[in-house]
Amino acid sequence: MRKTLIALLLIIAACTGAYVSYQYQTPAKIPSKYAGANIGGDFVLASADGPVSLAEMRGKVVVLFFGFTSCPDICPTSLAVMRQALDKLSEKDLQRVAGLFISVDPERDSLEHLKAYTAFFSDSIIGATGTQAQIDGVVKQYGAYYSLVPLVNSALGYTVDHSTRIYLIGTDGKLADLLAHDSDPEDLASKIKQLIGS
Amino acid sequence: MMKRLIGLGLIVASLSAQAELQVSNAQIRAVPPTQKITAAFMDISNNSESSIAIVAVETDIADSVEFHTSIRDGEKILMRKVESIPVDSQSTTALTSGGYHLMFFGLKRPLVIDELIELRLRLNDGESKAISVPVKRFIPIN
Repeated sequence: MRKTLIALLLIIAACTGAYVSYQYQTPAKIPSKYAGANIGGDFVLASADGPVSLAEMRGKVVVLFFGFTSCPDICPTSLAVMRQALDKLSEKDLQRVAGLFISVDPERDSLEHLKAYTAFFSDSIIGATGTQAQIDGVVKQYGAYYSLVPLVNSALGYTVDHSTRIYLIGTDGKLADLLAHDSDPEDLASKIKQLIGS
Repeated sequence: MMKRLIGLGLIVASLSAQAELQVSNAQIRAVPPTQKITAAFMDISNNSESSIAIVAVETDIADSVEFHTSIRDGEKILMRKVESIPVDSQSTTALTSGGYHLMFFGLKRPLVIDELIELRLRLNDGESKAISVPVKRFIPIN
């Protein structure tokens, strides 16, 4: 009886462990094919200049990235790629594209701070964020991932582990493509032009 | 006489340790004036016979400097603090986007693009190396 009980407890422990590690190790999966993939969709978040609604951006190509401004490497790299891609567009095409940097760290990223941060890269990039529930909703919709992680003995206090894809949303509001955060700006620019249809 | 020789030997050794540490492609990322955090990237080459580590960085522009590394884990990237950056004998350690970088906290003033920032790298053997690092808007992607 005792042995059975111990065996049972071990099985339960193993299953719980497996479940916990599965939860931890599996960031949201990003499908390899995006057309028809069930990720993306409308959302409303806040910016220093008022609400940002994806539905109201129909007709524009939206280049979306999730990050946080205390991120010293990956986020500025992706925003610099966006900037360099936007620089390759004509004035006319620029009217039909919007960059969108969604902060998953509203605790540290006030709307004003976000605005100053994104404007440094380009006036065509909007900085937006929301309540934790709103952010979690958009992150889930887009199959993204983030997690706040304490850093011991660091002036940063905590960092944010996050997925690093650049999302390209077409003029119809649907997810059209996913790019690496350190993509060639030329490649991003040509994909934007393709989606605009120019 | 022997002491003098040893002393001379130590001086020569310390000079050569400095000479054999080469820093190239050093850049500090320009950030918005409101931003109090930035990062620096560079290639550090060690042409000596002994491995060394960068254990601290001194500068006037920030309250503190830490070593961090970005680690790719599938679709996500994790950033973690490390205590030092190793530069093995006869090899180069690249501080690059997506890998090791110096992280500056509490910037004391806005950085101007193309200005040179003085840094002193402190090594685990007690030596140090002064470098001038330009502020750049776009850090090349490897």
